[in-house]
Amino acid sequence: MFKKWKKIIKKAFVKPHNESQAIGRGESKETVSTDLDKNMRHLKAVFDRCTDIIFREFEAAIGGGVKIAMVYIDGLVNKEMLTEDLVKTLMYDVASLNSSASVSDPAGYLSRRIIAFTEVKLQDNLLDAVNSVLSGETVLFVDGVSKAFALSTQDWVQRAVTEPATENVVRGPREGFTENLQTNYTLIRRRIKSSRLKFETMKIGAITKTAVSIGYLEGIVNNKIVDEVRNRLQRIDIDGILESGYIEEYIEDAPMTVFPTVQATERPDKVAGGLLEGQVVILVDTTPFALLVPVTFPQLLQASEDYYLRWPFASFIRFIRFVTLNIALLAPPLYIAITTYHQEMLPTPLLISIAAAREGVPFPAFVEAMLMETTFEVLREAGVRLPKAVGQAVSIVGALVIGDAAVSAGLVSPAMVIIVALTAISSFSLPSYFGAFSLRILRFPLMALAAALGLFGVMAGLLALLIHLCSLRSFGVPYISPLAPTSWRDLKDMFFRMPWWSMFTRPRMTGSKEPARQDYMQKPRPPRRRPGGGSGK
Amino acid sequence: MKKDEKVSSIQMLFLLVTTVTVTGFLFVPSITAKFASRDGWISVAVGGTLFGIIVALVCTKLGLYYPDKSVVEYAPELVGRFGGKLIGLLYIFFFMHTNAIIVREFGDFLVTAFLPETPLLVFNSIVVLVAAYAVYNGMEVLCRMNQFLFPLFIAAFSFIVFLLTENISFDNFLPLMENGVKPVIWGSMVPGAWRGEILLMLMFLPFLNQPREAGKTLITAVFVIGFFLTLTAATSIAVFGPLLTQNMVFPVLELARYVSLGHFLERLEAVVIIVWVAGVAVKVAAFYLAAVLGTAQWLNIKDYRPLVYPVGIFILLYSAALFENSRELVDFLATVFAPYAYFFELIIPLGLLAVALIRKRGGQKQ
Amino acid sequence: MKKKVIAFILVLSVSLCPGCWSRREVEDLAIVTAIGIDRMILDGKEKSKLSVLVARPSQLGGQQAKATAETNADWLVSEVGDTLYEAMRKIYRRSPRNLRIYHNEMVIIGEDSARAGVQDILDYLQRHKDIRLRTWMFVSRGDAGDAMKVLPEFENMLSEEISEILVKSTPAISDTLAVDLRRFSDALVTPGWDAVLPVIRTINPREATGRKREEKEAGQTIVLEGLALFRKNRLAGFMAPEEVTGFLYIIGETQRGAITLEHKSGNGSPSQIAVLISQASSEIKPVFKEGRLEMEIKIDAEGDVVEVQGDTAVGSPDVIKEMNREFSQKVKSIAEKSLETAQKKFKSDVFGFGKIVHQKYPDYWREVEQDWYEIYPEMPVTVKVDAKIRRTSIIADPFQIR
Repeated sequence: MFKKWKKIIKKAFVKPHNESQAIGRGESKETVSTDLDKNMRHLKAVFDRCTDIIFREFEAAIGGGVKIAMVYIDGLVNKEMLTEDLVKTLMYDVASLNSSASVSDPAGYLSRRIIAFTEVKLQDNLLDAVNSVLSGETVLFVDGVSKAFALSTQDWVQRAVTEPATENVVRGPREGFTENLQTNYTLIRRRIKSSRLKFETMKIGAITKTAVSIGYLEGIVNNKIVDEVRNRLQRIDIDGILESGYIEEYIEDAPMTVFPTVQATERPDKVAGGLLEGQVVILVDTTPFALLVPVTFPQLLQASEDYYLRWPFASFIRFIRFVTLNIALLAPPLYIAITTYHQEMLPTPLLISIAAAREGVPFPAFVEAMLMETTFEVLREAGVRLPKAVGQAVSIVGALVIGDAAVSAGLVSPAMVIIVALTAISSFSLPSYFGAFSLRILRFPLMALAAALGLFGVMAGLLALLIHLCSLRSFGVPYISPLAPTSWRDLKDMFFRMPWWSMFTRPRMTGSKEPARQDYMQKPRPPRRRPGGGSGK
Repeated sequence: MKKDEKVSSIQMLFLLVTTVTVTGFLFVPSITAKFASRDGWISVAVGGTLFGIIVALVCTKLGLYYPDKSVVEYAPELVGRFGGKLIGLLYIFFFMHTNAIIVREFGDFLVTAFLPETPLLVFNSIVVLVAAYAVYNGMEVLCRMNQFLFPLFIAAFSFIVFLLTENISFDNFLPLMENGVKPVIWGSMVPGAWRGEILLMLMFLPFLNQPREAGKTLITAVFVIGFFLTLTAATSIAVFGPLLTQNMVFPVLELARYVSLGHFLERLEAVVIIVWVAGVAVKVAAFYLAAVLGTAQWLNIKDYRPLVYPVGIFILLYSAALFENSRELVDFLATVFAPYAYFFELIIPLGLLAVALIRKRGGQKQ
Repeated sequence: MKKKVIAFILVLSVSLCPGCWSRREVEDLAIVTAIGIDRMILDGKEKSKLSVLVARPSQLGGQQAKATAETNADWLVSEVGDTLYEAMRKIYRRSPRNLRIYHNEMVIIGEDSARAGVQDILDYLQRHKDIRLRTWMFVSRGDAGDAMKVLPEFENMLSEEISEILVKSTPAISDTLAVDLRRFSDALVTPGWDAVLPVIRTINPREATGRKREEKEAGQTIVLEGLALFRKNRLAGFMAPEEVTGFLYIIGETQRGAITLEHKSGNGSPSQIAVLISQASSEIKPVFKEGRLEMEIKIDAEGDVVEVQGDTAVGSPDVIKEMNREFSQKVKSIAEKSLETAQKKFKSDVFGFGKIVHQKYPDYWREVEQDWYEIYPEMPVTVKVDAKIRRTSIIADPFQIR
């Protein structure tokens, strides 16, 4: 049945989006001609009705006024630089050059001697020239030369490097990725000054032609993972990539899961840390979110700050996070299960006060919990979407509705409010916003199971969840890997964060190629005699 | 068949320990107390362990002749096509039957002790469904899942034992062996049969990444299981005395119910039951996997997955049809189960081993 | 894909559609906190009477709780039936909510019922899955149902009051013993060991009682003291509080009991000295003397002087030495008194002598097990006490006004 549908769908939507057809109207293979007018005609045809494309033709002050044309997109180039360094140079300054000598290789001569730009690409093909224009370069055509010169004049309005919105830290760098790929390279490169840091770039998206870059540390990374990432990226065939989320869905190992098997992060320091542990980063132009693969579930519970704080604090925070993980997932289901099936588990006074508080509440605990959880999710969503100024109002309304009015109206019991509040706070305390998402979703089926079968239902749900987690892999790495299969070595960086000088090795799953992270025996040993001499007093 | 799936010795050890202990500690204390009264723990500790070691040795010796094949696959090579297929069929039946019993034990226990108004079939079908999901995902996932749960089991177990230390009176063990050795030996039949469930290794040996370590793994498993079962049997006798223990259907449940933490945290047996449910899911999945694997190999099917659902439905229906009432089940476990299990755990493997020894003598020894 | 959808729908239908069998919302529960069991003769037929105390949550907690409530915080309801289970079911006729007894804290057995035998009661208690082995057991003087009519003095509910007295107060005075269902059943089924239960009695105290002080007549209050001694299945008799202290010395479970010594120093009048036991342990040893079984009990006790009435200089080590002798003497005498009551008067082996013989001499036990109750009352028992005063609290010699 489904197969039939697939066929129909295929027939209806066959659309090999051939780039050359779309843009070049069959003339794409055309090479750059020596005839400037012909080139310009072609380009003007391609950029028909594109008002933001600027065509400028002028004569250079050499060779008796060679005709030159330049094409660029208004707003993507640095006009000042163009005027000063290109137009002015060509129109006035080059006049002083000895122009009588005939040049055997005019294109080479021009790029070597005349065009004063740091990056100049020579292009034979008009399609390349078109693409260069589209990516913000200025393309220069010279009459009589069968090459186009693509000058890197890109300069557009961009956001400054600011603090990331999703992963805040108290201690640690405040820089976050921006929408600009180059800036993002810089942010990583400034942290890892090594020639082993490689970036491979490719363009994905038939129309958007978004630059996507794979970064890794050669020698540390497992080459198989890099190959796999490259393969999966190359397989993507889509018209446009607007955010790294597009990529994420194409390269996941398990597309049908609620758990992220690719980690999205805004923090360059996190990416640098991942690279040092053998992870691969995927940077996507126009996105401030970099993707890290492979990722394991425990890693989603780790914040980059864990590594900057002193280890006892970091370990304590991690412990708290495991607690909150469980609360975020299990508090409402357990409340439902215990109050409707296993009342014997509650201490008698507690049971009596819950019973007293629920006296007069019209809904069963399950409906009550669903009501409150849904209200909360709605409030949260509203808080994200609304303009900042209105957000305040929403939170006040939410606090009143959830906290007070519902209870005094007798719609819900105070105990339920506590549970919902606890769940909400707990789910915010998880460092990965996207990991917390999956818990938020899973909570609802677990609540239904709790209402149907009590703790037994919750356990059955959790077991299925566990089996599911165990069967997941992220680029070949088992998803709950330091736990099962157990790697004692890696558990040092899981429930606890052991001191840096004790974590000798990189994680086994990703960093096995060059396992040693550091030298042994680096535990600080203060000298017997205090520096500065003297005996205390 | 996914022969490329490999698990480590420690994962296999955990799997076997969970598999045997989880139902063993529910039924064994009361059954042994019935035979051996206050010496039940000796039966569990000594008799069961001895038998377990014998089974472990036989299984390893036999399995290592064919380290990459299961018993269903190599039996035809050893005793001829017809006999081998018959033995394979017997084992498949044994795994399915035992699994049906386990599922039934599980459902009966939950109906008796947990949610009495819920139909048995609901518990049974849910546990089979969860196990089917695990089996569908294969041996590696099953082992990983168990590895994740194992600390939880230990925690729940210690929770019971440590919080009851103040209620333990060692007087209850005295006098030792009042009626001689005989009741102790009789009492050790059932725990022995339970310990013999490590014969799952006959099916799972090809999954080991280091088959050489199979013997060590099995014997360690026998001792670890022995430790847990003995501790359980001893604790229930020490807390309740032999006479109360032998009339209880589930002494461990009573132990869990008796736990009290400063008169505030009491009646926490639901937590213990829930952890136990997870253990049973692992056990059902292990036997289920053995049955499905065996069937696939017996029929020479490459991929066992299509068989998962039919076998599951068979186990479910069989478990519902097995016994009339809960006492029949306990009676079966106390009397019939031991000789029945011995046949599969010891007699058949011993026979196969004898054939293998005769055949392979002078031949290549891997 | 299709399969997964079907599997998912199956899971959902299995778990959700028929669900909710045992589901009860907390506000639909009647939480039983105490059970009383009595026996009565109706129309010449023996019937069981079951009384339960049910908590009223609306009177007890939450926002709507009213401290000065019109109704009591607990609801007493009794019914009569052929079996206890039937009586319990009959209570359902009157209860708007589902009775749940997993929070039940205690079972009180009426005197008549206990005298008639507790075997059937025990079967009910053990078989019922919601009754726990940690339930406190009591015997009431008179009907259990009557004892449960008493209004609590201090706590909200009677059950709370009784269990708090039992758990928090009795260890401080050692004149009764907290026994839970496990210990009670263990003692009943073990040959050579008889059970004891603490006794609940209602009294009309001299000072005012009750919720409203003027209703003095109606107000009765409960008191826990002494032990009920069983012989096999039946209640044999009661042991007075002073003897219970001796009993606890013998079985080594004294906690903080007080003992009054008489000390005669030189020529003065004897002074009364109160000693608080800080520690006590015992050892019971069966020995054969001239082919006859005897019990040797050795008690070690330690105590502090907490009150002196008179002028004994308890600060002096020599006096303490003398007092140690008197202390030992006193412990010995109360232990012997309790032995007298249990062994001779009621012939009830509450010390577990038979069990100890069984453990020590299993072969001999096999011979005498059948007629243990003939041997036991005649068995000679010797008590040796080694008691010592350790401290004199925060002053030494008695307070004196010159």
